[in-house]
Amino acid sequence: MKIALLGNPNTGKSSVFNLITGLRQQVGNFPGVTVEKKTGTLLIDGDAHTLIDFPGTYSLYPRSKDEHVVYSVLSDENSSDYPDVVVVVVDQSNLERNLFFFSQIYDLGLPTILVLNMTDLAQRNGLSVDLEKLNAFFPAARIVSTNARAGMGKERLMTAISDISKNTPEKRTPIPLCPADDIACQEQEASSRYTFISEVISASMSKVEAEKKAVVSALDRFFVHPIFGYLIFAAILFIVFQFIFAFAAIPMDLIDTSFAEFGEWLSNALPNGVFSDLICQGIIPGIGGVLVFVPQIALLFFFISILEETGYLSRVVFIMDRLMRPLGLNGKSVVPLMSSVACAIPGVMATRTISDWKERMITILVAPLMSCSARIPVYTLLIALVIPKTTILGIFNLQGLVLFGLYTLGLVAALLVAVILKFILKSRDKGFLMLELPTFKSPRWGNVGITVWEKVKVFVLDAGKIILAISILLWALATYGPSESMKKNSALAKKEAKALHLSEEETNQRVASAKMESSYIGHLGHFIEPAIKPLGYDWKIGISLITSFAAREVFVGSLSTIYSVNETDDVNKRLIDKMRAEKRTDGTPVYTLAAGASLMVFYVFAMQCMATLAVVKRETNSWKWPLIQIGFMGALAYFGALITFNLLS
Amino acid sequence: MQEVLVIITIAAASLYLARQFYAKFVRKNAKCEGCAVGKIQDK
Repeated sequence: MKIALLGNPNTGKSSVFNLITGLRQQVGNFPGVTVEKKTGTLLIDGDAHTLIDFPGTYSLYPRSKDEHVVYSVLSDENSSDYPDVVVVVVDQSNLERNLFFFSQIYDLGLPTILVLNMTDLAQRNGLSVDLEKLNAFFPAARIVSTNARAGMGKERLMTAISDISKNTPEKRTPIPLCPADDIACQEQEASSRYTFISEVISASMSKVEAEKKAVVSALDRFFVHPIFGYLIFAAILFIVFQFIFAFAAIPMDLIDTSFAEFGEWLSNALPNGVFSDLICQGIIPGIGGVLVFVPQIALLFFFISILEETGYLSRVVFIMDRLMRPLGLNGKSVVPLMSSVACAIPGVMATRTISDWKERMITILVAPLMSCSARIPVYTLLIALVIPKTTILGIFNLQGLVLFGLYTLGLVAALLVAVILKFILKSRDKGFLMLELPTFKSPRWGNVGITVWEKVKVFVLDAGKIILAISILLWALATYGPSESMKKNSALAKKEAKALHLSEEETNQRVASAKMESSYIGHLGHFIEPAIKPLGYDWKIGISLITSFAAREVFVGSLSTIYSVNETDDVNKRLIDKMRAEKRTDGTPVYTLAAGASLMVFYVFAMQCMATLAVVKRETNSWKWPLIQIGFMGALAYFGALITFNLLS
Repeated sequence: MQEVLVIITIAAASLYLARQFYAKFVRKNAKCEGCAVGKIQDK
């Protein structure tokens, strides 16, 4: 027997699926499309039944690619996925909206089970449902209640499925649906269905604790207000960035000092030789330079997770939708853009729910402009380097303000580029956003902890492996070079040092710099230097820009490795101190305010992420779009950095 | 001995990066064959 699991998004459908199938699950695609199809095996009285988890949808009339799957399967009895039984999961605390889709499914005439899920939430909201009265409106359906997140109601649901499998009722005569393109007919149908649903609700549902709801509504009047909503959101972001800078400093210093001490101990413990140099000058600084940013990443996701858990982020999506519409973006673009603040990869993949090609493409193209977590190490290193640690008006941390400004710059750039693309790309139809505002809840600290742990793990393991590999290659390229050129330059440096009567330490420093300049990386750096000099960068920064094409955070690891190879007196100095001490040939510091700000602007705009490009290529099935993306983001980055450097010089 | 270890480490790092590049840009992802926006446009 084939059982279809259907329901609106956010009704706990996946929890119900996991509850009744356990680990007996496979993931594939629906035929002809690549909307994910999750199937599971249900064992009831020794018989195996197939449970198919369909994408969440609000109506049988499809608007997006995944919603189309539900329509095409249920309207085609010859489909290989056409079910014998349908199980519709609804959120009991939002019964009115959920019953719209259920009533459409019920009218198809298939044997149907209605699962009233999230009973705990409904109880907290003072809602109770009289199952008998509800059943009277849908006499052919079986109705069960569950709280799948808490693992409750499994037996009731399994019994209902078992009863239907043993005694499958005849298929009722289906009530025809409107044609998929007849909007007027669909509107009329929606109106009459909601009239019917109002009757169902008033007869079968009772509400208490109306005051609680009133409090939530009063809060929402502020959170989604056309003016206060944006001000509150900006204030929350502002406070989060202030906290990130204020709280992360102590653990960051601890990690930094620990790595420096570990490196020092290791360089004394290991025998002299090239492999020891590789470990002490290449691997340890490269990895340490990135791990030091774990506290800031953990804090950012801690706050994001709390905002999500409490239900506030849905309000943000709602108010941002209002902002997006005049810019030519679908409200559904908000979710991918918000996801891109964590990482552009899930952001780009989340655009699959956008039905209109143009809106989806614009969202894909601008999503990487939102500042992702990989930019945090770059931003915070440069901010700590060139922005004074001071307060504005006695309370606001200036460094936190600059970080807030960089995130805002990314968002503004994404919106402006979207407006431009709106006029360039051609569209056929318009999409819309249907969003449920969940009730406010106190965060589940376990979930917050898991989110933080998962994000930190991805940062350390996924990015860490690439950073480690690149650090090793960079060390090799900075240590070796054409032997003739290296010998000649070292001898020349020694001769110059002797003529200038330099001390032994100064001579060693001069020889190390000469060797590095004649290494392979030195040659490459000098080759690209003319292109980046107008932005205020030297060739060492240029090398880090190239290597960070793999991932933005590689920039920090690369600088760490390059400066360690160049260091002769104290290999284990903190990266920021080495950068502060870095001088040009004329003796002026490399990292001035102008150069640092120019670099920050460069990283706000530049498409420095191999993995995101690969996902864009896969999602658009073409090299054209990722190349366009590299082109316009690269141009924005270059000219943005150029203007910034010249304004601040 | 240290030179040999350095060569092995550099070779392993190069191989890892090459594999990452191949997996991300060259290898076909069978699971996501039709998730292309281009196909929606073709409709």
